[in-house]
Amino acid sequence: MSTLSENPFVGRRPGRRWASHGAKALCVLATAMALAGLLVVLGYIGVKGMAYLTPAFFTHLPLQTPEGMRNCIIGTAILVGLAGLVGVPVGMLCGIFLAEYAPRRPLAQMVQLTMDVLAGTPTIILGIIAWQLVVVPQQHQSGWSAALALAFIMVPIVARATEEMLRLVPQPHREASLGLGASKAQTLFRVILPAAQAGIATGIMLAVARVAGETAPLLFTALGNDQAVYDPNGPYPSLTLKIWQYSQSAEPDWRHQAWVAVLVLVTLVLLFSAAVRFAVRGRQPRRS
Amino acid sequence: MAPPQVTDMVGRLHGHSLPAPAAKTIPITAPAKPAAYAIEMENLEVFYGKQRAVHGVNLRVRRNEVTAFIGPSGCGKTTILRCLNRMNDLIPHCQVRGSIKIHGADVYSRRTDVMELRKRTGMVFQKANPFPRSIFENVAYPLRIHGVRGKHVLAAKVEQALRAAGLWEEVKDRLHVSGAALSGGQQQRLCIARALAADPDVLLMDEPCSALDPIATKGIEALINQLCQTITIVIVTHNMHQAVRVAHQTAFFYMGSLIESGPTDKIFNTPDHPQTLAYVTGQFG
Ligand SMILES: Nc1ncnc2c1ncn2[C@@H]1O[C@H](COP(=O)(O)OP(=O)(O)OP(=O)(O)O)[C@@H](O)[C@H]1O
Ligand SMILES: [Mg+2]
Repeated sequence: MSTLSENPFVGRRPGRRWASHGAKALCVLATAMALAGLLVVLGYIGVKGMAYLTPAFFTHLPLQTPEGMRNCIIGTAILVGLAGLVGVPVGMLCGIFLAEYAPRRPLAQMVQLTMDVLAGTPTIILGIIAWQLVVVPQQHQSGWSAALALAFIMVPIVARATEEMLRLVPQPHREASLGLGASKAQTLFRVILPAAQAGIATGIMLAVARVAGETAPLLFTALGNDQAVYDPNGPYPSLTLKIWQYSQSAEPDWRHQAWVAVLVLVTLVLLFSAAVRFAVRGRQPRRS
Repeated sequence: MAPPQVTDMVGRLHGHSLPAPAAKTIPITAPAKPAAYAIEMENLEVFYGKQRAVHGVNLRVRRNEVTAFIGPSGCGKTTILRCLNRMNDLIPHCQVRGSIKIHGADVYSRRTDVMELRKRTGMVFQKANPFPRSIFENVAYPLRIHGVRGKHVLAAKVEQALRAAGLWEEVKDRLHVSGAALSGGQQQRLCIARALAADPDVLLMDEPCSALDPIATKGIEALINQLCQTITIVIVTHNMHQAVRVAHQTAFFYMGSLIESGPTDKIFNTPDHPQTLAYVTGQFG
C-alpha cells in the first residue's frame, strides 16, 4: 500500500523549487520596472507633445506664424538617409568581411578593434572628426559633414549586427552550397545573406533609430537651418538641433514646440521600426 | 550474431541484387586504362592541427561501382570522404598530404578548379542539410548556380532529380513548402535529389541512411544500384547489411588506416585480416 510520502516524485528538496520561483520572480520584476520606466517616459512625451501639437507643425517653418518644423523633419530624414547610404553598405561589408572572409586573421582583428573603438567613442568626438575632415577644409558647416558624422556612428552598429547574424547561419548551409560547386560569392549572396536578412535588417533599423536621435555630432557639422533648403553643401535643418535649441529657450512657446518635436521624432522612429519589422516578417525561414 | 549467418546473407543477397563483379564491362585484366579507376588515393595523410587522423591510405575506387567505407566511429571515414571533394579546405587547421586523383586529375593540384571538382563530385552529408527555403528551390539551387535558366527546364530537371531520389510522389503537391518542414528521412532524400541535380560523375554519401526507416533505406539502396550504371559511388555506412547489399567493393578502416579493401563478399567472408573479420562479424566496433 503506497502512501503519499512513498511517491518518488514528491520533491525531497523543496529549496530547489523555491530558488527557481525566486529567479523567475526577479526576472519578472526587473522587466516590469524597465517597462514601467519606458511607459512613464513615453507617456510624458505624449502628454506634453500632444498638448501643443498643431497641423502647422508639419506645414510651416520655424519663425513663421504659426510656427512649424517642416524643414527640420525633412532635414533629419535626409541626413539619416545620406548617412545610411554610406554607413549601411560599409557596415555590412565590414561585417561580411569579419564573419566570412577573414576570421582569426590579424587584419580581421584590426578591423574588429577599430569597430569596437568606433562603437565606444562618444558621438560628439565623431562629430569633431567629421568637422575636422569636412568643415575645416570647406570653411563652412554642411549637411555632408553631418551625414559623415552620423555614418561613423552607423558603421560599427551595422557591422556588428551583420557579423553576428552571419555567424548564426549554420555551417551546414555553407557546406551544402559549396559542396554543390557554388562559389564563395554565390554562397554568400544566395544562401547566407538571405538566411540572415531579417536580423541584419533589425540591426540597420537600430542604427537608423540611434542616429535619428543624435544631436551632439550635428552641433558643429549641420549647424541647423530655419529655411526649407536641403542642399547638403550648406548648413542643414535637423529636428534634434531644433529640440536642443528650443528647449533651452526662455520663450515658453519655443519650449512647447520642442516637446512637439520630441513627440514627432519618437513617433517617426517607432513608425520606421514597425515598418522594418513588418517588411521582414516571415522572412525568417519557417520551421516545423 | 554468429559469423555463419552473415556469410549466408552475403551469399544470398549479393547474388540476387547485384550484377556479379565479373559481369562488369571493364575487365580486371584490361591494360590499365585511366578509366578503370574513378578515384586513386596515394599515401593520403590528413592532419587536424598536430593530430593525424588518416595514416598513409592507398586506395583505388573503381569506376561505375559502389564502394563502401566501413569501420568503427572516429576511424576517419568522413575525413577521407571530405578530402575527395576538398570540403576539408573549409576547416582551417586541416592539412592534407599525399595525392588524390579523380578521373586522372590531381585533386590537390594548385590548378584544380575546386568549384568544378565539387560540382562533378557530389556529396550527401552525414546530417541532412537542406537550405531553409522551398523544396523546389533546394533542388533548383545547383541548377541555378551552374547557369541553368528557364522555368520549364528548371521544373523538368527538379522533377527528374526528385523522382530519382524517390521523393517526388511525397512532395509533388507541396514543392513550395520549406525543405525544413520535411521529416528527417525526407530531408536526406531532398539532399540526395539536390546532389543529383548537379549531375555529378562521382557521388560521395556519408551515412545517407542513418536517419531513414527501412522502407526509405530500401529506396535509397535501389537508387544507388541504379545510379552506379552511370556514376561512381562511395558510401560510408555503419550498417554491415547495407554494405553487403549495395557495395561491389568494401574498404575497412581502423584508427585512420586502411586495413583491407577488396570485393565486398571477400571482405565479409574471407578477409585477410583478423581485425576485419572481427569487425564485420560484430565482435567490436
Ligand atoms: N574538424 C575536426 N577537427 C579536429 N579533429 C577532427 C575534426 N573532424 C574529425 N576529427 C577527428 O578525426 C578523426 C576521424 O574523424 P571522422 O569524422 O573522419 O570519423 P568517422 O569515421 O567519420 O566517424 P563516424 O563514423 O563517427 O562518423 C576523429 O578522431 C576525430 O576526432
Ligand atoms: Mg563520419
